[in-house]
Amino acid sequence: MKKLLEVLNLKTYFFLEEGVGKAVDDVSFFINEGEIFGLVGESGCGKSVTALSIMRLVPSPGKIVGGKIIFEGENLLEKSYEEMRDIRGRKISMIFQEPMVVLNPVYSIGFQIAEAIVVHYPEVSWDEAWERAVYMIEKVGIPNPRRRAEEYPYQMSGGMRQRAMIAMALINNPRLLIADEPTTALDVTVQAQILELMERLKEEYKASILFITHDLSIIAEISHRVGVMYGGKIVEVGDVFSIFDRPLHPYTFGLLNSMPRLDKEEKRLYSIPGSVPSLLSFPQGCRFKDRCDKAFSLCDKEPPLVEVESGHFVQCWLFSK
Amino acid sequence: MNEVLWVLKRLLKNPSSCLGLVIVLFFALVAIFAPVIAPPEYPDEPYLLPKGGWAVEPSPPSPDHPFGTTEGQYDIFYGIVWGARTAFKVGFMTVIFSALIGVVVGAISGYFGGWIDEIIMRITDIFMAFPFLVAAMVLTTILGKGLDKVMIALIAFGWMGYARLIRGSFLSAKEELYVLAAKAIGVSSFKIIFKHILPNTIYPVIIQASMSMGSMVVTASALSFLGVGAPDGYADWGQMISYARNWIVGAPGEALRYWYTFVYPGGTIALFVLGWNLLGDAIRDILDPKLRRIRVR
Amino acid sequence: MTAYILRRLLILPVILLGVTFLVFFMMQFLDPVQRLSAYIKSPAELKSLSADDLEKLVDKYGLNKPLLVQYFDWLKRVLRFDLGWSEVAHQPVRDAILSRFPATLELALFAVFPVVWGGIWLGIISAVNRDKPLDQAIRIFAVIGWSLPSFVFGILVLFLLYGVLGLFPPGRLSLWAQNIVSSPDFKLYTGLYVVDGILNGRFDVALDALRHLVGPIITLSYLWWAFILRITRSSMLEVLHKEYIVMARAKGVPEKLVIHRHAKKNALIPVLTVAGMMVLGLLGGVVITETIFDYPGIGRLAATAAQQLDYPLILGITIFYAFLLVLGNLVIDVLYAVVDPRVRLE
Ligand SMILES: Nc1ncnc2c1ncn2[C@@H]1O[C@H](COP(=O)(O)OP(=O)(O)OP(=O)(O)O)[C@@H](O)[C@H]1O
Ligand SMILES: [Mg+2]
Repeated sequence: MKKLLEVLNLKTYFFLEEGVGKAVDDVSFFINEGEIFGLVGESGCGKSVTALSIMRLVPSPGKIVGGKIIFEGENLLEKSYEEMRDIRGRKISMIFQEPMVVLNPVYSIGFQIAEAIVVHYPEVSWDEAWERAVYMIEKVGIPNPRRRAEEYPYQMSGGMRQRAMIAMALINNPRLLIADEPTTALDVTVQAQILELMERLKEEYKASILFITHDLSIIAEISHRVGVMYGGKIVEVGDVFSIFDRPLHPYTFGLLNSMPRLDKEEKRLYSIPGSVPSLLSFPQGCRFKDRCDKAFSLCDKEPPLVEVESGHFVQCWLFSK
Repeated sequence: MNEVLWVLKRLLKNPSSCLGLVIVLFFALVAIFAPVIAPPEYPDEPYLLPKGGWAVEPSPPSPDHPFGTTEGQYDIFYGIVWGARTAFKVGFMTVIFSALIGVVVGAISGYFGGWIDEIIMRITDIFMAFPFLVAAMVLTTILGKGLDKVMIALIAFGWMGYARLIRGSFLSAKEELYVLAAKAIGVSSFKIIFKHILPNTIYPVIIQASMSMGSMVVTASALSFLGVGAPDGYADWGQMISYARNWIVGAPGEALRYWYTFVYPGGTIALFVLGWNLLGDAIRDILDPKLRRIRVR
Repeated sequence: MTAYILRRLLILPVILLGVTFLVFFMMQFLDPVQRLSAYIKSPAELKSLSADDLEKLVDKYGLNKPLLVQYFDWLKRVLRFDLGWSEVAHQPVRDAILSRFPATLELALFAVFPVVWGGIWLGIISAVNRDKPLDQAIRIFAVIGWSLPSFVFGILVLFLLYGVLGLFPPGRLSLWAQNIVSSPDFKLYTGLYVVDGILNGRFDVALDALRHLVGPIITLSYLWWAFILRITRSSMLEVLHKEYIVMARAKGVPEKLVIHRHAKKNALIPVLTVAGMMVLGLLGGVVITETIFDYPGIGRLAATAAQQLDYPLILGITIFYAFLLVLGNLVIDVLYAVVDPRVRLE
């Protein structure tokens, strides 16, 4: 299989008054063509910042300070503004968590979708772009597309908006779709519909998806490979079966145990002790060690990322002897 | 107290708020030591400007009159020094009293709600229907000349902003737990307002008050400038500028001839307002909870 | 939305009634003779004011009746725009106000564009270049403008433009132009001298009128920019942090369009209110600026009335101002709904 995107040693830091926040610190992973790659982790572990780094849209005071982002064989970090703009929304597009706030309140849905075409293909007339937008609105399952295109975001439900956003993201037939918690803000039945829609459209448009969530059950359902993030680092990567059947890192273990499962009878749900420390106060060495029940002396030093079985990597001293 | 120190520390960290603080402190010193800096000629009436003669035409700075004399031979230096006292007096009195009235009115409105709130808010709307300067001008005209009348007029039309502010925070604070809890154990309304709600809603008032110091002083001076404020010969910066008005164009071929009549009082009042504005802005930045949380997430 | 506007319309009479009552209440601080002057219809009545005439007049205007009855009598007159006789203007108060209105309107029309547009423009530049030197410079420029009292800066402008350069004189027209305007051949179509000058083919008159507007406009622009600029800047900064801006960038929208299409339209919604209030302020006449530049509009009229203690006139102008403000604010709210679709269809 061919790699579509490869992130190598990415470092994105926030330069705050109180110090440097290492939101993404030395993160590496790759996404194959046609694959759904799931990225999981607790709130604040750096998932969104990783996604924004790939788009090169990290908000100030954040900066990408190191690493490479290879997309279709080229390093995105070396692209000029104009080159990068051309990639955004055409080759890589993004869906956000809060459909309530990511659509511009003063423009109609149709306008915002058609705009995504015109900014990349100026030769397309506005009327044609509008037609394509209407077609795409229909495609994502919004009834009455012609009328809906004229409507403003506040006139739509959360599920509708999320569908509109998917339409906007897929309109230029991108190679990679970054979905940052696309279903978190929706209720469960709508969640299932949206997931189903995304899987179907992914097949149709032959795109890859970077699927970000903190919900392991969604990951189990749709992704092929998984990366587990903690404190700005990817602590474990592997295909979905090895991660779920043979979790290695104590953090992954804890995450899986805290998730209700049907196949194992559990007396009570486990929860990882403590909470994620603030960005500026992670311990030296392994960032998880203060919450880890298996921590030992070596954990004061930073563990290397090692391949335990083929394609299954973990960053923990327990496995690098 | 800790809070005050913390605010002070933040103030000193930022160069522009530091500048504001220095300017305001400087004027405060001038106002406090006015009797030493410019000893009054008539100790019973220190705010009356001493005259250097009876001619109308201003005379340039001289050892007797370091900033010169303005129209009617009034001493400019004396006017500026004692004008600082006038400015502080007007500023503090109007801001404190309009804030006080506003807080009381807003607290009643927000606490009781219902038709009391409706009536009070409509009254507020009525007062806000008048442009501030015009309203102050009319009321001063009706009440007659004098600084006390100016202050009454400014207070009468200056309280509405505070009332709306306090009412707003009351409406939201009312829902919050601490009020419900206090009500449940049977604390009286009066006590709830003064002990439980007000201390929690007072920041916006402090911000607003510090931001309006400058504009209150300017409006008072504007009234004096128009000739409906301070009585003739009273130490007031607006008045000093109105004296300069007829001379500003200079003499034929000598445009700058009477510069001192305008530059000293004009510069003084601009500097004073600048100081307060910088300070008010900084206090807002520091105390505003919305801005305070920025970047902390 | 319609419910909201309907509610506003229903409250409107209440507010206007309250406004008149407040003015009437302030009148009660005047002594009886001064109060009487607000009722008198012509100078003839004032002429022979002996002690018993006074009694008769008090009787005639019902000033010895109960307060509430007095108020409604007075209100009836006010609603007929019968605002009394102005000694200063030598004409009925209503005519005094109406005859000054074109001058004020002309100044407002010419000032509104530089004031509002300039402030918005500066605010956007400042926000887009946040914390860069350009932003710092604009903010220093603004804080100075914000701190300069109008009567200080206005005099400075007058001094520079007229005293030093001799270019832009105070007043509304030069003497020669005034003579042309008041001659019978010159038709006053609108009362705006720039427009009328052009319509009459007297471009020299139009130019002269324009020349007299420069000083007040510069003064107003600089002083008011600070307000619009501050609001635009903070509104713009807030909007630039919104998710839909990130979304627009993620779509590949060029930065220029992100700012001028996606951010600006949202950021300008709160600015609209301030801009509207400024237009109202201009329409009401700007007291200090008109006074300094000796510009014969309503603002200067108000100042003169106050200086000369012409109570009927100052009270009349106050009522005029308040009505203008109340009605104008209603218009602004409706406009608001037109611009912001969220409000429109609520
Ligand atoms: N604009 C910013 N300024 C300062 N710090 C930021 C900013 N954006 C993100 N961070 C920091 O970066 C870290 C990672 O944030 P990120 O948004 O990537 O978390 P996340 O994994 O997406 O969490 P969530 O599940 O809540 O979306 C957080 O600790 C946050 O404090
Ligand atoms: Mg996130």
